Amino acid sequence: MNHCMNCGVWVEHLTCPLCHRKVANPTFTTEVKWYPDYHSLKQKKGNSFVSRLVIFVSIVIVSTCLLINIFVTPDFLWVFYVAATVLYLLVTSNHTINSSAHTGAKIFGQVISLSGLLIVVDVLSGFRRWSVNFVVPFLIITATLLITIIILKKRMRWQEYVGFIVALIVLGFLPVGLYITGIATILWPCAITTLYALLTLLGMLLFSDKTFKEELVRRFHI
Amino acid sequence: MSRWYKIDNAGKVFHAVTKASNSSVYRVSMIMKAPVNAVLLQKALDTVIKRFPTLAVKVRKGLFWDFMVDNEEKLSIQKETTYPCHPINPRENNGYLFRVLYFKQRISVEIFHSLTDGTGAVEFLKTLIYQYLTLQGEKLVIDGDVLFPDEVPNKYEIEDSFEKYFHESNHYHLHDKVPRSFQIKGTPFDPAGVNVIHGVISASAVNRFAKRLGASITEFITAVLIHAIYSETMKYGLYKENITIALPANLRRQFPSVTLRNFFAVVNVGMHVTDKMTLEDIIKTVSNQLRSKTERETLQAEINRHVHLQNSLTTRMVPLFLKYQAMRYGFQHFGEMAKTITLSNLGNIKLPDCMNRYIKRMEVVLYPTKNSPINCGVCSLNDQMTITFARSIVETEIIKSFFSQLTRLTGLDVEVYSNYWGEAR
Repeated sequence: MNHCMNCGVWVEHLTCPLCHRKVANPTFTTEVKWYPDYHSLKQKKGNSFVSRLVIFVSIVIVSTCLLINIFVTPDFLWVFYVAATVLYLLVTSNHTINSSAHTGAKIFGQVISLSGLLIVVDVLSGFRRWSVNFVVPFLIITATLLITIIILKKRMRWQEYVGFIVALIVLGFLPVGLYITGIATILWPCAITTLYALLTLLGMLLFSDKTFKEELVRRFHI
Repeated sequence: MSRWYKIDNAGKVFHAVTKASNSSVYRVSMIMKAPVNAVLLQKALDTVIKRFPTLAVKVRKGLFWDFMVDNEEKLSIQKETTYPCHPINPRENNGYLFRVLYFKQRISVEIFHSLTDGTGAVEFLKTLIYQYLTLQGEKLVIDGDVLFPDEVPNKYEIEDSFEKYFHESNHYHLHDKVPRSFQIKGTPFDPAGVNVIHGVISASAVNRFAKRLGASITEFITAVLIHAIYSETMKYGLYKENITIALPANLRRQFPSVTLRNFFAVVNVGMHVTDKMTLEDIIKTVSNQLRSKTERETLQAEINRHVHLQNSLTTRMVPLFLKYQAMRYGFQHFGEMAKTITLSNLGNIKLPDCMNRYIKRMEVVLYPTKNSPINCGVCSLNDQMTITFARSIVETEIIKSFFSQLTRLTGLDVEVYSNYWGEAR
């Protein structure tokens, strides 16, 4: 044990951790090692750099296109096509591919972002309503089916997907809402989506005994 | 069907406020007399983890509240490679919110605060060490100081004691505004991390010295810390703020409970220090405040206030992401800004004599936060009191002043060692 005259304490090192001075006349020259060496510790390089790079590149593309659009063809704002596509690719890159998010969250994210992209494209090209009549309902059905398959496959860890299946079941009622409000004009795809959501809910309640109901109680406890 | 648990009143906040600069992960360690055998430690953990069902959990998302469910995955011990209180990523830890580490003679348990408080963590560590020593072939006779690994956990250990001791009242005093306390500023480490400095001193000698001044150990250490903060950071400045020490109080002392979940309240002891004040004056103020604020009636009011807030229909019906925003605001303005530093004294840890002879001492490391970049943890074992400062900033003046004053005042030897994060050895 060495004595630091400056701080008045005994130290188990050659440098005092309090004043950072070398201990005068150390009696022990071999340090007691209480902690690992951190020099060899590799700094964990997360995905943050790639994510930030993708965001920066996206901003560069959109802002450049905006400038060109304003100066070259101010009557036709095609920049929104670019912006919506870039935004979708940004979500796909930073959330779906380049993140450790839950698979359920990735599927849900894709439904929302792809729906958003296609609605924008539809609106910009005259809003013939193909996005709200067909794309959104069938995207929701596809995602619900996908998560149902995952739940059936993952017998041990299916509870992790309950939140997402519930969210998609709730989302399954959205197309009918769009029809009622007049945004969507064709009923049958909207009705199929809602029926599919209801049947999924019913199937979960019937075939999972008490576990699904119990999981719902947990998820919605107040 | 796996069991599930609602997160207790105190635990809920940690889910909301945890981020890179505030890991909400604290550490309790025991320094053994012999190097740790990793194989036996893993075997001990495999057995002991079943004894603590509220620790062996993973978090699930809910719409109104998150909750915890049994975790059947294996929890592997890890050799310590990075700084203490490093954030826990459940994805890299089989869903668990705590980890067991070893390095040379040290066995550490790092726990996300949502699971349990210091008392629960120490109970887990004691049982782990008991099982580890038993697997080493030691014949140990325990007599109530350690939870036996093969016992079935009783229902009182997994209860939410906040709910149990909550009393309906017509008067819930909500703080309108908490005055801002003095905040320690410094240069953050680059790369970010936690530097710990431990000081080891004779517990009985410090106790005797504190008693002579009419104070408890916690009151004495708090007073020395206030004095150190004042003399190093405020003395030559113009400050109107109080120096406030946040002291987590173990509610089990006032409300009979054996829960292994969170059951603590934070007591803020603060004062405006001037040049004319002596250490004795500071001790007197600290003692008066601490004693009145840890009376049963005061703590009962705190429990009532927090549980009432959590249980009110308005709070319950608000979706979780909005509640988290409100909790973050509350934590920042009523918690972080209202204190200068946190000092947690786990007290004298009792172990059977048959176990004590294998253990040198204990350490407790409290995670620093952005607004409270230096925190202090204290505990005693085998008459060795370890005072640990964990900091996320380069500056050491306050810690240096604290230990220098402690040696000067008491005349006792203090042994200091560090992990040297961010520094050259």
